[in-house]
Formats: sequence, structure tokens, C-alpha cells
Amino acid sequence: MAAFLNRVFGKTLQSSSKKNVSSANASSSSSPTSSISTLPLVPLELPPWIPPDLNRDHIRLLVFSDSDDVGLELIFDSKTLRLISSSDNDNITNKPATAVNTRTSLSQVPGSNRTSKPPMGPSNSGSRSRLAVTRFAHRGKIYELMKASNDIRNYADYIFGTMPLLFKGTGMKIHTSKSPLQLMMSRVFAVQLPERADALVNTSIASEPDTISINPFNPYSSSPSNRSFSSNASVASSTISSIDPLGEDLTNQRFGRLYRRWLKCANRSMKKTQRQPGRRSRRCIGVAFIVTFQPNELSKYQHFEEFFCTHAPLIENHFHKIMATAEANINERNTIAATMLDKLFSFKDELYILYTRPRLVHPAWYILTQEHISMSKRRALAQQLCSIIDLFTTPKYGDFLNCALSALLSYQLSWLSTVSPSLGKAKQKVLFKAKADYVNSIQSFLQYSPLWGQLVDLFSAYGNPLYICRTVLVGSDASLLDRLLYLLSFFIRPSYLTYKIPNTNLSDASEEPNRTYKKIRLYIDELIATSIQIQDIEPYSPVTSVNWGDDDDDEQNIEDDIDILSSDNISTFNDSHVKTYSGTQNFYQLTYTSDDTEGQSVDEHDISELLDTLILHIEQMILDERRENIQTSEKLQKKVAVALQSPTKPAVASTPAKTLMALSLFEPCHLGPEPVQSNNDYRLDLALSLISSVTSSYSSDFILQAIETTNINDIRHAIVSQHTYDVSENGGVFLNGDEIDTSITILINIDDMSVNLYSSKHNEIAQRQERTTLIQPLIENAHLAQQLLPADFALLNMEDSLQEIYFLALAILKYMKANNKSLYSQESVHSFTSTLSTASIASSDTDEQRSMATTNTATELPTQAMTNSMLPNELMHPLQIDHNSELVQNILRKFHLQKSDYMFLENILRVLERERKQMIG
Amino acid sequence: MNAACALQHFCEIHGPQILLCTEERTYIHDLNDTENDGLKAFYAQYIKTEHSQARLECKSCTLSSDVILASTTDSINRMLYISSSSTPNQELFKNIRNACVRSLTIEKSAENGHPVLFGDDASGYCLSLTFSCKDFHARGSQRLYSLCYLCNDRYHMISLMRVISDCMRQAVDWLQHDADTTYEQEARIKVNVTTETYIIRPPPRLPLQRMLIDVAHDSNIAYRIHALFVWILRTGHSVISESLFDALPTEEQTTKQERHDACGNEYGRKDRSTTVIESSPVILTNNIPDYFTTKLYSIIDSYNTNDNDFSDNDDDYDSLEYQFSSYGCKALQLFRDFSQKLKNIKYLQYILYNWIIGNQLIIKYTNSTNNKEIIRAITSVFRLFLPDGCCRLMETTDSIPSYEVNLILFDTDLILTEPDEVEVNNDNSSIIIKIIIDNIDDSIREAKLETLPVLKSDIIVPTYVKTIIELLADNSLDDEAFEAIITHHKIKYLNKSKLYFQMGRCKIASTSSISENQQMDILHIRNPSDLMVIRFWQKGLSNSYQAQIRILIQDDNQHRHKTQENNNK
Repeated sequence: MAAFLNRVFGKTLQSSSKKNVSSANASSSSSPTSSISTLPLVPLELPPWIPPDLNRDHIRLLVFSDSDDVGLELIFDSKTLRLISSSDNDNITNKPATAVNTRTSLSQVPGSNRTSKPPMGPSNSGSRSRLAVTRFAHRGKIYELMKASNDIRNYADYIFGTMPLLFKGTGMKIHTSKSPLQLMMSRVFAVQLPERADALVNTSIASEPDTISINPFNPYSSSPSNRSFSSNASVASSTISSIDPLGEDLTNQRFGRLYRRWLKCANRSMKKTQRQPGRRSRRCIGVAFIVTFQPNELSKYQHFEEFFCTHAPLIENHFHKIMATAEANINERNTIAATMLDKLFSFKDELYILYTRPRLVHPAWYILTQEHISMSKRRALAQQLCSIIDLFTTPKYGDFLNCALSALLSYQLSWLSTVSPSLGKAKQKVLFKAKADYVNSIQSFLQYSPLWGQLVDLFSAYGNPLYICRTVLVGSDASLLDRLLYLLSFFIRPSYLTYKIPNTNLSDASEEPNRTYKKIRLYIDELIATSIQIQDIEPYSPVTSVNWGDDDDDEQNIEDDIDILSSDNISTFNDSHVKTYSGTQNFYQLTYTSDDTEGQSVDEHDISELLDTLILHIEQMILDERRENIQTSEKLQKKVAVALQSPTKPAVASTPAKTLMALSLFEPCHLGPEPVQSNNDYRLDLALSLISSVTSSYSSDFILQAIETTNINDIRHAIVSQHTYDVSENGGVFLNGDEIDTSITILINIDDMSVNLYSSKHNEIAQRQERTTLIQPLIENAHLAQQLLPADFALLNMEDSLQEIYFLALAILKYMKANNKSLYSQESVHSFTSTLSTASIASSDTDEQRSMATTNTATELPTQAMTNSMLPNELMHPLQIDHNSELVQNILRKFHLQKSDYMFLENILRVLERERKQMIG
Repeated sequence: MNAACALQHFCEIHGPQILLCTEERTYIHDLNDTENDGLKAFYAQYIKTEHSQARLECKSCTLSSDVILASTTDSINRMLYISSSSTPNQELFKNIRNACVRSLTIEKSAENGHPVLFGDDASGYCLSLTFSCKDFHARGSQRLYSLCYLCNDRYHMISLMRVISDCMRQAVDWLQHDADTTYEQEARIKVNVTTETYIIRPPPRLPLQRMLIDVAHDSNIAYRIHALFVWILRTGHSVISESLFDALPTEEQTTKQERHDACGNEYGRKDRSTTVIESSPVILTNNIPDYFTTKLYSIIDSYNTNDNDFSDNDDDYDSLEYQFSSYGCKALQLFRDFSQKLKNIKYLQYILYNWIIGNQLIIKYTNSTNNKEIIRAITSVFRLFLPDGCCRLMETTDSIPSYEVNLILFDTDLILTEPDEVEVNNDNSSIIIKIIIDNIDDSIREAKLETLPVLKSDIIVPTYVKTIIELLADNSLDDEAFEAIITHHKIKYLNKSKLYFQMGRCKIASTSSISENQQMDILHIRNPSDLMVIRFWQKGLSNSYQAQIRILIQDDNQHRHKTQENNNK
């Protein structure tokens, strides 16, 4: 028991009491619990916010255009940009003609040895002789772009590659260098806009009408990776399309090569749904931004580089805007420079804000979940939270806090997983929470970035279709804002990151100048010497290969390998398949019910079993996917069947057996110093980064921010336009995978004590958050703490109240299911399960939108009017329910809820339902 | 899906070539089982891809003269790393090939020794570090190689960019170091041993194609590179790790766990496997006299020999026999049946009321067909109503009353004692129910409340009981929903019990200093019987929770004490 307690509290009783002596003074002086209003907010020895340094002028933007007919041209380079003094203005405005012919073709750049095609067309001939200068006006000022600088050649090589590929490569690149200290991120993407009439018309465009519209802002999703292949493939596919793909001719050996190509192509298109446009003359745009630091700013550079690595998706989001503008204006020769400059300015600002805006250095949740936080420190924090709650529940504020928390907890759902009971005995307990210790293993085979996980948590991007949620506090009193921000940061609960930077230096540290690797070499030699040799592995020779016996070995391999993969996997799964599924089911129920069966002891063994099942699960998914691909061809499907029958055991052993070396793990960290446990900083940890402290302007990057302002309309406009951008074609990408369906912002106004929800679905209209009874216990617990119990208990009880909500949501979910079931069993008896599952799938798809619509439809009207005005019945769906429907009424009655409670729960229900489906289904 | 590492070379004759690639794969089999057929078949694929003999002839395009196949397993993270000169995974091969061509010919790094990250979503992302090794026999005395780290997830790649490139640089430095050493030896001839004078040999007229094995002068270079690649790949996993926070297991789960632990310490595995008894560790360890325990177990043992079909899962401590979930729908149906057979809703209220405030419940049943399933199903419903820690159950044929258990299943067929005797032995608050099971269709023929409530029923029905009865009346509910709702209510009341428990431990808030009405206010209940429920349910709190609260209180008191002292000073 003692050991257990130690785990809970991080230290023994003696030591904790000892600790108290030392910290009592500090905390008692800094956090007087008696007076609420004068409570300072930083009782802990936390590092103050030190703004990082970034010179906006050292951000350089390059825009190139590369087309088959004209070659590579520089369109915009912010380095050569010059503001022309006003005296020059008069001269220039009189000569607008200079802007006509301005682009520098790279073949004219000095030192260019690029093998790109020489510029064609008459327009470029003139640019050789004179300085290529563009002049343009932007916001009343005149700028001019000078002749391309000398380093442009290099940058072009970085961005586009030194050799022209067979086709223009699309994609992203990051270059770093030490001298000069800089970091460059570049994107190349194909232009999808139709060429303007005055541009050279290409014959090949006509040959293949562009019927498929590919999102130009997602170019990588549509563009092939291996160009030479894809061009071939598309040729092949177009050839094949004239032939019946399943006809005998194709499967005939004469067509073997073609057939395989087609197969590959089919496989590919299965994966990427979008068909490749045929090869034609395309125009690519290369955009790059370069952040340069002075040679003596190495530490600043490293700081920024680390920041860049963790915040890449957010930075990319801003970069997207530049790309979009470049693409939209690529043919507007006269205005592109001005628009690019405009975007450059805003990009610089956005990057600067993202990098330097003051953060909430101590989000409550983050601090409270620190492993080594002392008891008294924690108590001080808990007291703070309680006193803040107290402050905002004084009669003056009415239901304000209730509404604010209701809104936050209803849409910012990262708290959900922190109150769902743990699967087993946790090794580490931090603040009455169990630290899930299986995450690491999952991480290693799922290959996701933990930062990505954090981003999902922070934006609460759990739904499908995706919604994201931000919270904005506005008010004129900074100290109030600060307090509320701190309180809300307790309910935003992203995962906790640990960095373990390994000791990457392999050479013997003592002899740095003359690198030697003696120790490490000995270590590796030892490893190799002790490795196990497995001799009897025989090359796999599939039985089916006889069918394909021809002299074309290379082609042969592809086929065989497909067979091998599938048959191998199938054979693996045959043994464990059944077990897997039953195991999974048992396991997952655990989260939701408290059955003795599952609840009894989930120890390490079970967790490892869980991992195994998860792995099998994932492998199964991969296998299914692959099988699906394979089944596109009937022929192949047949082949799989053949392969299944034949044992995987090799039949022939003509080739000599090969030796496998099984090495043990190479862990050089044993030799060198211990891995560095770096302190988490906002540059490394998004949980610390995306909550900004009180500032004066809105930034879309922060999920929780407080703005000290009296002009709420401006903020509202900013929010609304951000919503529009989020769901627009250009911006609606979250982590570049999913499209954002709905963007929600909770606007909490301390001044008039209102909590409004803004959604991209109904932009101009806000919905006022109602008071909920479910949140009330949370607040009352804090009161209790002030009166009767120690503040720690208030934290404990608050967690319990949250958990109660979680269980309530589960119960309602089950209740709804049960009611649907009875509904369905009356209608269709035959395939109940399938109907239900399809129904629920459909519901999660369509309903999300619907209910988003419902929750956000209106308004500052009274609830009654609002609910009446909503939801015609045609979309009545088992789980998507009219708020007035009988089922909802039943729920409200059965569970003694109010309407606002149900609205509060709706979002939670949706997410829970989805999770459940994913887990069990 | 997984990351991969590759070493590539720009061959004078053949252009960019892949020398070695290391891929990773999840792996869950027994690591020591080298006889695993599936694994062998898996390895065999790699050998299959080896047989392109044509490539072997070009020395420059191979790493070493042997065919390389090396694997490493990481048992902790369940990963298998396998290196070979090619991969049977076509998708990966294509990506590596693509990365190979790009990193050696097209991509230009901004500075020597600085990697380039490039890629797109279709063919994955690649962090490539191009480097040259000195080689006396090569044209220009150097060869061009590149290291690639491939990964499909862009964000993952970018976030790891810095660390991975550090690792790669180390690996490259080492290779270059070795190549330099070889070059020194080959390019210079020592003419004078004493003065250390060297003559630099002119480079050979005809460049020779050599393997990296010779360039670095290390016969095991392939394995070394494999080890380094595995290191890099593993580093990629371990650099950033995230911790998620779950809530602690619920009180019910914890009490079960604690009971399990206590039991596990006390008894051997064999005993546990035959336990049918649900009881708290306290009872098992301290209070039950030896004869009682042994007797009980002997009975149970005989049961188990009789009907093994009840306990499919012998190894489970918590047998499934009283699990609501293992009866599910049937149990719910039976219980509804049972409540109807009671004929009076008041009786049901009375039973439930007594049950949930902690009074003993004795269920007598006839069991002529020796079919325990029905009675157990009903019991499972009773058990569901109470938190796990509150429920102590005994199945017995013995007339010895036990005050330690609050649910006794009494098989009236098996005992010879008179029923009267039993009643005498029970305390007054016990509730006795008699259930007669129909032998023919296994339904409840009769259910009777033997200890009838006092006529003028003065009990105030707890809200929880009302809820239960309401739920029982709602036929639309299936067992899952029923259970979920009950669970929710249990959590709710357990939370109140926690609060009550906390208050009881605090001086200021202790139950003695606050009136009952105030307590009810704090707990948000309107019903004195609810308070009784909450009081009793404190038993359902786990030991660890109670201990935690006590420590917090203690700490708080000390804290207060000290601040007071400080103030006095």
C-alpha cells in the first residue's frame, strides 16, 4: 500500500511533509486563500514568458513558374523588392508601361546552366537586354522588383531539383543550411486554371479534355509520385480502356506486360480514387519561403527550427494562402506582384504572431498533470481554480460561468477521454489520473506523430465529418480574462508530450577533432558476433509461378509478390483471426460497462494482449484493403484462391538456402551519456503553444485565447471570416488530410456576460449558450471546497462530476440504441444488425451536419422559439433526432434533463457513438 | 504505413541503385521461436527478391558479395526490422526507388552535409542525406551515396526532421571516417618509416568498381549499417512520446481488483479457480473461521464436479456466474417476471429498499432440477443494483447465518434443517424471499416475500429504487441499456458517497457538525432514505480511494497547522 501511495503522490508521506515546510512559505505568501479578488495568478516558480526573436524582414518569398513552353521564370522575389521613395513616384506613375514585360526567365539569369528549354514565344525576347523591373503600387506605395539576384539560380535548383524530371514534380521540400543560417520550405504544384487566351495555347490540352477537377490545393493527393511511371500508366490505361479489361485477350500472356501495368494502375487508383490526367503540358508554380538568421544567431535559429518542426501544419496553413493567391493570379501579369506582396505581408504577420505571441505559460491542466508536482503546489493550484470559480459565480455573474463551461465542455471534447475509466492498473498515476502506458507501443506501429494527436485534441477534431473548435474570450478587464482563461485551460486536455532526445553522437567524445569510433565499433562487432544465424530459410517459390512462366523475370516478380503478400498474411491470420476478434470485443466493452468479467484485472498481460489484437486488427485492415485492391481483377482474385490452397511452405529448393542474420538491438545510448530529457517548451509542445494569454488581436492559430478589447465586432468579424476560410476550398484542410466540415468558435464575452457559439454553418448568427444542469455540480463542488473541504477534494469531485456526465452520455446512447432497436425490429426483422449498423453509419455522416445546423441555427431567441422553428421531419433519423421528437422527450423525462442539457450532450453523444463504432465495429 | 531506411549509391555504370533498405514491421510472435513457419515464409520473400543475378556482377551496385538479410526484433515495441538489398513490398520498393533517384540526381541540398526533406503524399516523404566517400579507385577518388529515411506521414517526418538528420549524420560520419582511413592507406606509400614520409600515388587510370565493403574496409559493413538503420528507425519512434491520461478505474473496478489482489495473496491458484464466493478480502482473511471456509469450499468443489458447464472459465477469479452481462437479456426478463410474481409493487420496493441500504437478503429457492442458472440470473440483477464493493454474496446450503454477507442464496432442497431454524438465526432486518422454480419450463413459478413489511409502510422510497422500478417497467429497454443506465446511477450515488466520505473525514464538515438537512442539501438529495443509501455505499469505495482521501486530509491538516503556526509567529 505504501508503494501504491508513493505512486499516487509521487513521494512518501515524510518527504511530502518535509516539502511542505519549504514550500509552505512560498505558497502561503503567494496564494492567500482568504481574499479572492486579489489572488495572484502565478504562485508557482514558472518561467516567465520570454518572447522569441524573429525579424519579419528576414522572411523571403520566392514564386516561380515553370511551364513546358516557357520554361522556368521568376515571378516574385521579395529580396529584390524595393520601396521607391515618393520623389520617384511621380516619374513612375507616368510610365505604367514598364510593368508589361517583366518576368525574368531563368535562362537569362547569369550563371545559369539549367537545361530547361529555351524560352519560346515572342514575349521573352526583349527581357534579355534590359533590367527586368516590375513596378507596382501597393497600398498607396510604389514598389519595384529589381533584377533577379544571383542566388536565384540556386533556389530554383532547390525548389525544382537540379535536373528536370520527366514531368514537373509536385510536392513539398524543406532545406536547411548553416551558412547562411536559414530554413526554406517550398511547394511545387500544378496549375489547374485554364490558360488565358493570350497565353500560348497548347495542343495537348485539347487532346484530353479536363473533365476531372482536381483540387489544386491538394496537388499531392492527385499528382503521381513517380512520374515516369504514371505517364506510362496513363498511356497504358487509356490503351486498355479500349479493350475489355476482363476479356481474355488481356489475360493472355501476350498482353502480360500491359496487363500488369494495368493492374498496378488499378491498384493505384484504388488507393487514390482520383484518376490521373494524362500527360500534357502543364504549368507548375513553385513557392518558397525562406527564413534567414544572422550568422551569430545560431540559438535563435535552432529555436525557430524546433518551433517550425512542431508547428509545421499551422505554418503550412498560412503558406497555403500564398499558394492559392499565386495560382489564382499567375496569369495576371500586371497585378501578381502586388497581390503577392499583400499576401507576403500577411504571411509574415501570421508567422510572427504564431511564433511570438505570448502564451499562457501555465495551462492549468498541463501544470496539474506534471508528474513531480508537490502536494502543496497542487493544492495551491486547486485553490486558485476554486477561487476563480467562486469569483465567477458571485450573483453579479449569474449563470455566466455555467454557460461558459457548458459551451466549452460541449464542443471542446478533449476532456472526454480523461474521464473514461482506465483499462487497467496504471503504472503511473498523476493527479488521480492514470497515465496510459501502452500508448508508446501503439505509437511505434501506427506511425503517427504525437504532435498530430495533440493537435486533434486541441482542436477537438474528433467528429466525422470534421469539426474544429476554438474558444475566444473577450472583455475589457485583463485580470478577469486571465483568470477565466486559466480556469478554462483546465478543461482543455491534450496529451502530454515527452521528448527524449537521444544522444546521437556516436564518436568517442574525448577525441572530437579526430573522430574515432572505437567503442562503438567494438560494440557493433560484438553484436554481429553474437547474432544468431538462421540457415535454413529457403527462398520462396510460389507454386503458381508456373502459370506465368515466361522469360520476363522482372514482370514476373510483381505478380508473385502480390501473391506472396496476400497468401502470407492469410496464413498468419488463419491461426489467430478468430481469437483476435473475440478478444477485441471483450476488451472494448470494458471501457463502457463495469462488468466483472472485464473489470477484474487488466494487468500488463492484458494490455500486451490488447496490443497484439490491435496489431492484428491493423494488419487485418491492411490485408482487407489489399485484398480489395486485388479483387478489382477477377483474375487475380482467382490467383489468390490458388495461393491459399497451396501451402506457404516452399516446394522447390533449387536455389541455395540463404543465411539470415538476426542481430540484437543496437543501443548506443548505453555507451554515451544518457538521453537528454528536454524541458517542454511551447516551441516543442503544442499543448503549451496553442493557448495564448491576453492579447489584443485575434489569431486563428490559437484554440484558446483571450482578447482585451472593447470592440467585439471586430473580433466577431475576424472569427466569421476565419470560419469562411476554414470551410472554403482553399483553407478547409486540417492537417492536410481531412476537410473541415464545420468550424466552431465559442465567443465568451466577460463584459456583457454572454456566451455565444459561432459556426461556419450559420456564420452571422450566433447561438446563445444556455445554462445546463449537468455542469452545475462541477461548480458547486468548488463552492464546497471554499466552505468545507480542502481544495484537492474539489478537484477530485470535479473529475467525478465530469465522469458522471460521461456515464450519463453512455447510458443515453444505449437507451437510444435500445429504442431504435425496438423501432427497427418492428419494421424489418430480417437483417436487424445490418440495418442498424448502416443506419448508425449514415447517421453519423449526415447527422453531424444536421445537428450542427440545429445547434447553430439561431440566435438569441428564447429556446422555445428556436427549437420550434427547427428541423422539419424529413430528415428524421434514428439517431439524429428532432429536439422535439418523442425519443428526446423520453430521454429528457427519463434522465431528468432539461433541453439545454440534451443540447449540451448532443455533441458528446455523437463523438462517443463514433468511437464505439470504431472500436467494436 | 511504416518508416524505412535506405542506403543508395550512384553507380558509374548503372546510375542510382539501392544498396540496402531496412523496413519495419509489427511483430507479435514469440521472438525466440525461430522455427516459426510464418516468419520463415516472411523471410523467404526477401530471399526471393535476391535472385537478380545481373546486378550482382556490378560490384559498385552491391554492398557486399554475400546476399544480405538481417533482422532485428524489438520485443518491447513489437517491431521487427529487416534489411535486405531489396524489398518484396512493391509499394515501398517504388517509394525507395523514387527516393533513390531523386536524392542522388535531382535534389540539391542547400549545404553539404545537410539533408533535404522532400516528397508528396502519394509517394511518401523522404529525408535524404547525400554524401560522398573517398575511394582511391573511383573516378574522381570519390563515390556518391545517400541515406534516406522514408515515412508516409508528412507531419511525423517534419517533426522528426532534426533528430533523424542528426542520427543520419552520425552514421554518415562513421562511414566516411572508415572510407578516409582506407583511402589514406591506399593512396599513400610510406617510403621512410622513421620520418613518416609518404608518396602520394597517382590515381589509377581506369576507375575500378568497388563494393562499399572494400571502400570502408569492413567485411561486416552491411550488418553495421543494418544496426545503424534500426537505431535510426527506433529513434524515430522514441523521440517524442505522448502520455494520455485516463481516469482511474471506477470504484467498482478498483474494489474488484483489490479483492482479487487480496485473494491472490491469500490462496493458491487452485483454490481461486474453484471459488464461487463473492466476499471481501477482510472476511476471507480474518473473520471466517477455518472450519467454515473449508466446509464451504468443499461444497463448492462438489458443485464444480457436478456441473462444470457453469464455469467455462475456470481460471477467472470472478466467476461469471453472477455477472449481469453474462445473463443479459434473460436475467432482465426473469427479474421482470419475478417482480410481477411478487404481485405487489410495494413488496418489490420493500425488497429493493432493504437491499440497497445494506440489509441482508436471503433468497430461498427450490432447485429440484439442480438448475442454478435461473437463480443466479436473478441474483446477478440484484448484484447489479449495488456497487461491487457493497455486495457480498454467499451461496450455501448451510444454515449458518453470516452477518458478513448481504446476499445469501439458500438452496432449500439441499438442506435438511427446518426452515424455522433458519429464520431464527437471522437478524430482524433480513429480508427473506422464497422463489420456487418451475421444473418444467424453467420459469419462476412462485415468488414470495416471506418477511412482509410492517403494514403501515413508513419507508420513504429512495429515488434510486424509484428509478429502478421505472426502468423495470420500461419494456423498450434491452439489457445493455438497462445496465448502462443503472451503471450511471451507481456512479452518481457513489460520487455522492465519496463526498459524504470526504465530509466525514473533515473536521469542519464532519457529519456530526452538520445537520442531516444540510448534508442532504450538499449532496443534492431530498430524501432521507437516499442518505441511508449513500451512507451504506461508502462501503463500495475502494481502499485506495479511502487511503488517498485520508492522506490528503492529513496533509491538509498539517498544512493548516503550519500556516497557523506561522501566523502566530
